[in-house]
Amino acid sequence: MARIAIVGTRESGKTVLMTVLAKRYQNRNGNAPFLKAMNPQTMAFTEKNWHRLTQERDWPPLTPPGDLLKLHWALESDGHSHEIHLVDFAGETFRTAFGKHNLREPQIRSQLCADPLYGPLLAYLDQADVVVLLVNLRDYVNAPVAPGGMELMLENQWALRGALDYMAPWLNNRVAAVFTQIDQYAELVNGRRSWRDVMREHLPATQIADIYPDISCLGVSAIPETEIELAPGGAPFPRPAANFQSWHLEDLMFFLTETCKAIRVKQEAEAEAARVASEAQSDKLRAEREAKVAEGQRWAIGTAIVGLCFMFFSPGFGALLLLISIVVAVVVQSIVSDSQKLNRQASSPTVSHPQIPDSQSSGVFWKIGIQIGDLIGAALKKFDASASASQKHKSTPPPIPPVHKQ
Amino acid sequence: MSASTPTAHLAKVIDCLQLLLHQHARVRGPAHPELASAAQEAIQQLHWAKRRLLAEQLVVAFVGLTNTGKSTLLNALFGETIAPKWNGPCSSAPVEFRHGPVYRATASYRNRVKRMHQQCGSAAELCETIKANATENGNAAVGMVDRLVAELPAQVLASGLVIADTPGFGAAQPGADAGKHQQSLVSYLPRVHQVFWVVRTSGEISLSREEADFYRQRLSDCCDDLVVTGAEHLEAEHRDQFARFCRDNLGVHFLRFHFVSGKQGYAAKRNGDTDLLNRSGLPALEARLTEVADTSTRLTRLADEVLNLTADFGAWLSQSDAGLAREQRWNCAKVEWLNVLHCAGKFEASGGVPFLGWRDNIGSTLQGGPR
Repeated sequence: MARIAIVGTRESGKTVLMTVLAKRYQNRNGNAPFLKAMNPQTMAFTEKNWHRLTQERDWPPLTPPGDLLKLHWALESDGHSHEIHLVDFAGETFRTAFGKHNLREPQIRSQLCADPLYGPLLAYLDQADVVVLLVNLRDYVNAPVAPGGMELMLENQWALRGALDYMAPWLNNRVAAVFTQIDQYAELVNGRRSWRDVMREHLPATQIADIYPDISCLGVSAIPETEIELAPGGAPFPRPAANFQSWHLEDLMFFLTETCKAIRVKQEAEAEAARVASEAQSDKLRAEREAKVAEGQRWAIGTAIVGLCFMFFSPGFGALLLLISIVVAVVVQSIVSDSQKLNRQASSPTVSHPQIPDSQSSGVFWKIGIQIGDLIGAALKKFDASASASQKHKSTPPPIPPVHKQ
Repeated sequence: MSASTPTAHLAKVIDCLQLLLHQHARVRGPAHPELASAAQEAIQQLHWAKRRLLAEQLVVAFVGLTNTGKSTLLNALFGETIAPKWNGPCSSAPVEFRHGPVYRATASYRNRVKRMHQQCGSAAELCETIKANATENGNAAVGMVDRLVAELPAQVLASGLVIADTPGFGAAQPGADAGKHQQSLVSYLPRVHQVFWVVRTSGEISLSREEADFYRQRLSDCCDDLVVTGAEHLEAEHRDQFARFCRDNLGVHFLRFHFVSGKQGYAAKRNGDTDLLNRSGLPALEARLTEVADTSTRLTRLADEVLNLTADFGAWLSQSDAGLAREQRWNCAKVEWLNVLHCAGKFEASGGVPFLGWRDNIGSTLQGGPR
């Protein structure tokens, strides 16, 4: 099960993209990916924003800094389920976290982790298996003429690079840089071979295309069709067109499902390797146990024979030895039945990782048996020594099976 | 409307131009305050151009002070007495004249769902119906009429044009009704695609302050035509003086002037007097209305209008923003600038031969190049 995180700078379109994605994939359609809301906040987020986009034909409000909306979808694909977690962060938080701070410095990193504003963002990324980094080209293409515009542009650039520097060590190629609102960049993209080229051309300062050649670069447009209207003050603003179609959402979904699939395959391979190793370990333990059981059985039989022999000379001592051999036999039988149970469990297909449990009963009985065996062994040795001293006068007793200490 | 038609592409170009000007003004406005108002003016004109482009049925409103001869002028255009003529404050609700096979009136009311439908046997009966429902005659119910639609078989409306006679602004109503006509006019204007502004002269070359103020506040974006009634009182050279006076006084240079005599035009049409009709100036006004209504030339006209506007704005920028190199002018809105070019290219490709080179033209004029 993979966890997917979606992040981006201010107005990169996180809310709109996730809303449209959730609605476009809300119905099961054969083997196509299917997105399932997993909590009431997620459903409310999707439905409210979708209503705003399609009925009111307006954009969802900007997420204010400090606001945290934890959203959770299950992405089902090819019979497997993955988790998409979207913590709807203000883009500004993302920009300032990575654009203004060097998170390679451990001290700064720990400070930010403890910060109530940035801590949840970093924790969110730390837990992610796949990250989608949304990029709005407008932030980087329009010349920063307004006061403070250059600083803002540089912060936005470094936010992308800083976020990748932060995540790349554990995510490698499981990051996608997704250009949003690409309907507005037709002329910019015209003639470029790929989105990686666009990245190289329009975000050269970040050097992302060269430093991270393995990350995927995609382009999507959740709402490519808009209509311009004039606000009461006369400013034109684009409104979502009625019945808009989305562009290339399937590319993003393909990246997500394929990456999740790769993660699942890797996780399954790791689990298989662990299972094989565990089985080898359990075989070894089982063999050891069986050897001990065999020894215990031999010892019990030997003791019983000795006990029977002693019945003729000393009935009390002989009866004691018989009793002890019965107790040991019972303990050994209990261990044997435990082992058989374990063997059955190990051969059962429903248990993927058979372990030899440190069974309370078999452990205690085994220890008791061994202790008793030790005591009897010590007593027999003493008895053996005294018997050998008096052997001159009596016949030689039958050999005593050796007692092994655990 | 299909998204691939030339009209849809031109509408998209207009959208992109509006966003370009807005972004430009937003970024550069703080340093150049005059830029914001210039951009806003251009945005408004683009807005009206788009409304005209996408209008299924073009509504042209004749707007003017009370008693400037709007109704007389309309009767002259229709060739019969349809619009009631009054000597005092008259139309209290806008009256839309549409083409129809028979005379018919439909009144809609402000607070009622049910409308009044009345079929009329003649022009005179229709005129009486309009008079009863949309003019100030002391009837309380009249004040509740929101709009009245009159259908008639007039030639000038045959192309689908809708001509609206509106309440006069500046009309003096007593007591609680003060300003009611003007409110009715102002609330009706958003339904209109183009305004023909009607002023009256009795030989003098002047505009009232009220007229000039109303034009600046309400009409400057949607009005390209000024109709001067009572033109029989003005000689040819005085007409030129009048046009210059208006242009200078209002600060606009693109107004078209139509000097018309409604009375002469009406009489000429009734009597079949061609000479008088030509002298009345009515044929020129009719030709202009036909041109405005003609859907086959509308696209070309509006494409040209957009190009003129970009040229005007580019030239204005060249004068006011001389320190900035032409090539760098739109860098602060590069995304929007490239979008304009992209959409202009698509429009050029979809529109065919008449628009060859349109994309380059719009690019060069926006950068201050010649038109």
